[in-house]
Amino acid sequence: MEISNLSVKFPSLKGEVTAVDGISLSIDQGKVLGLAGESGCGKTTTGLTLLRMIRPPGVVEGDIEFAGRNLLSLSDEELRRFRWKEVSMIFQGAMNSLNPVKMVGSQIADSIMDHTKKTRLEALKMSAELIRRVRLPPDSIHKYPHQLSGGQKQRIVIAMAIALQPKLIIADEPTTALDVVSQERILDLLKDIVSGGSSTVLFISHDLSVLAKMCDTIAIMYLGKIVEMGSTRDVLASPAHPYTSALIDSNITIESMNSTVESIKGYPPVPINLPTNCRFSDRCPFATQECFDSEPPQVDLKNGHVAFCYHPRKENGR
Amino acid sequence: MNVKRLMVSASGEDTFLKKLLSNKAAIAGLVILLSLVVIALLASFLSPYAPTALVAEPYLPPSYSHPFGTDGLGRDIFSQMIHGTALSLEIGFVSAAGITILGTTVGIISGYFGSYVDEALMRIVDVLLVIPSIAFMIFVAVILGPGLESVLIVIIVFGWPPMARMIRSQTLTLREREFVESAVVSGAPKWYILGSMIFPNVISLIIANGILAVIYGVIADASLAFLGLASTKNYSWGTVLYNAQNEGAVFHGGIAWILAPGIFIALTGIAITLIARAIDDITDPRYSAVGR
Amino acid sequence: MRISGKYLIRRSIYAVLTFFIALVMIFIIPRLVAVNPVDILAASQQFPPSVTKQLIIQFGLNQPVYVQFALYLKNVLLTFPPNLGYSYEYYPTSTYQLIATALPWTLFLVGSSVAVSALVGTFVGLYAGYRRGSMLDRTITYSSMTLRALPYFWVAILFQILFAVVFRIFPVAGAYSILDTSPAFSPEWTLDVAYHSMLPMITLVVSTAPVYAIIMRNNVADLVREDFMNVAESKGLKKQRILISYALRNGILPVISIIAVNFGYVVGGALLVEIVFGYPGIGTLLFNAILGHDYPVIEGIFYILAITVILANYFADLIYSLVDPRIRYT
Repeated sequence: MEISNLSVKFPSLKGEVTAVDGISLSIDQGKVLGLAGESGCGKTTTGLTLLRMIRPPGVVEGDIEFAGRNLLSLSDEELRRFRWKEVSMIFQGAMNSLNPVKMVGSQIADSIMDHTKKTRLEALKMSAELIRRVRLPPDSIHKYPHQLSGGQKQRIVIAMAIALQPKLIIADEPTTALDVVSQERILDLLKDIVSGGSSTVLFISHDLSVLAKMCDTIAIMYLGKIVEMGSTRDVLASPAHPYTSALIDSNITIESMNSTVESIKGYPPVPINLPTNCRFSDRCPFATQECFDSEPPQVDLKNGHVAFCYHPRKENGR
Repeated sequence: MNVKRLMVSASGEDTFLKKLLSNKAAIAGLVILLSLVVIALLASFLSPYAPTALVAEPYLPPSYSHPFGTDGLGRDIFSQMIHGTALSLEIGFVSAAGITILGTTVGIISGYFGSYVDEALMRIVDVLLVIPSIAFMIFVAVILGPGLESVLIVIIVFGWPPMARMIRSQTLTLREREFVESAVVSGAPKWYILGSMIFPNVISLIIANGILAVIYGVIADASLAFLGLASTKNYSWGTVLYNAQNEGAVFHGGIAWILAPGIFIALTGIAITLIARAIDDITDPRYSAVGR
Repeated sequence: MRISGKYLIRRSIYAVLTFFIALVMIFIIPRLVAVNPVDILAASQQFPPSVTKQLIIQFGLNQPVYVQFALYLKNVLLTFPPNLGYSYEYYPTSTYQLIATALPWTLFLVGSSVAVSALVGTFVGLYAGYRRGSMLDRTITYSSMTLRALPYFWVAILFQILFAVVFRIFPVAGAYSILDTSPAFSPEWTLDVAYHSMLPMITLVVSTAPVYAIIMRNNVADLVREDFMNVAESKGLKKQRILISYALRNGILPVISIIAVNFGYVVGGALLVEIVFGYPGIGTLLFNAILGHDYPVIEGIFYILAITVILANYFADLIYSLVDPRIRYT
């Protein structure tokens, strides 16, 4: 998967909202890439774009190259076949991801039937196998969503996402809505599923400790832009961008609140009619005049660790 | 999605009326309804003849002097329609007022006080909803005998339950909201909470459904009149249609005679639906009826 | 599929309670307006004195009100066929006989048109809601709104003029040809009856389907924004599957409950439509009874209608609980 110069814009009454602003990313086969940032920074939008789920009036620009095909030029039927078979997604909030009036087993089977030539019976057999793989009791197949707990529903959603063995799985905050115990179990399950190395995963979360556990590489997003990217170890152990440092600090103080990050002063500005300077400049303790005037350049550190900042590693003394 | 949260509404401060008047559908509805009301108010000036006066040959086709023709006794149908507009709208508005008052009171009391009050009131509502209302209206009207009062009574008695239901569920939701709960906890008196917290928040629902009740009243009256259960001394749209049917308009080429009452009823219905829908749209954009 | 016992019992109690209240209303309303049934009987002079005497005894008309009520309950509930008195106009035909002859026609008309309207309304609403904001949606929504605002009987008259008088496609009135002598339920008879029922049925469908279409449209338009609908689309499911097993199956639930709530209204509409088409059902019977001040028939009709509508509602509730898994298990 190669994403280059991807932008997503939504018209609104007060002007154009730029949710994703010219990001470039590449995800290597069999690796787990983490995408982190405060809520509203464009993580989820990026994920949805990879399934081409941005609806008009939203506008997507740039290129998404997947297994040699340009995603943005697929026809409707090609797109339908592409979705889930090539890229699947574990959505934020499993509570609402499932059809309330359909047994969960047959919801898993639906996607199998519509993408393969399998009969209903074969598809249901596969669902049973998948339900076993996500460690749910076999009779779960006949349950309706309201009869399952949040953690159980999330497992069903995971089973659904791995049903067709897609090349890329996007996991969008898969554990945020769960209690701490279920969170741990779901992460362990995901880790097992991922560790085979056959599937590539884009793991979206605001929680760096979760990403630290799951990911090979991490990209930090702020207001629709990637501000730092590198191996999990490099980014978390020696952050170069002041925003990354602040995120790491806040993560220690407030474990898992997907809201404001308190240790960073102020709130992210609403991304309407953005200026072309460093997005973080008005909240950054190290900002200088150049940060307010122009966009910072890419700074290459060792091993492909990159940051977009005029003053990388200001805070190394901590 | 996160982006949705970032979009800022541009119309935070506009008043309700201003928004209503900037809604095309609402304007269309208001224009139609106001024209009908003007016809009703000026009925005696606008109608060329008395509705009961025998003024020409029976079964005349539409002409310049009799735009909708004449009926089986040679009365001017155009004049009957004008007077019919006055009576039909009067019945519509009066029954809507009755339905609104009854429905709102029962709905708010039931929703706010809950427990056995709610249980008792809602059982009554359930029963009235399940009983075939038009049929029972006919039954009651037969017994009360033809007349304006009996028509109004039966329309109101069988018309308020759906409204009470709707207001009740809205009140229930409101009662759970934080600002009401905090008022309850801080010991605000009940009448204060009902009057200045619950009522203002259901008012748009009351207006939207109150307006819809007008067309319910008009059609119910027309149905009763069509069965000969309204007073035949006064003309409503239903009475005109009843005469058309009874005096065999179909076989005397009285197409205009039959079309006119239906078109007037339909116009009222469309106007009212447009207005009610616009109110709905303005107060709760999520349920926008027709995508813009 | 199973229904929880508690739900079944609760619904049954409601149905019986509603029926009882309807019975009380039928009994009480005429007496409230100070009409003395004995006077009516005497004034009507329709029956031979012996029959009048017999009715007075059977219904306890010269006894206190509570005795009258008890006898009334005994006559309508515990007697089979229910003793609903005699028609003034068609004596010695009993009210029960008159209703028993008319009721099947009405049930046939209402049953088939509710089924067709629900089907048509649901699918039209499904497409409009799924394509919310499109030209198709606007057209469907506005035309449904207009159709819904038309009184049933006016549509009936219009269709009668258009399709039976101007274009002679369908018969003007009646439920079968008077000249046709083929026995009941023979193929010719069935065809003839179907042909005669077309216009009344189309009228009812045109007036009722928009109600279902609008509700379905609004449901689906809301559903489309639900997460699970987005998920269904991201799963690359085929469009028919998204429409049928996701949008339809969720959106239809409120429609089913509306069919129940609306049933009495459709019956009321059907009565008026029958009158226009001279269809020999309950509506025409009622109309003639009103014209002839045939009180026993009018009362009997309401008794039967109350039973029919309450039963229909009861079954609609049960069907609803079968379709919505969330109700069944609570």
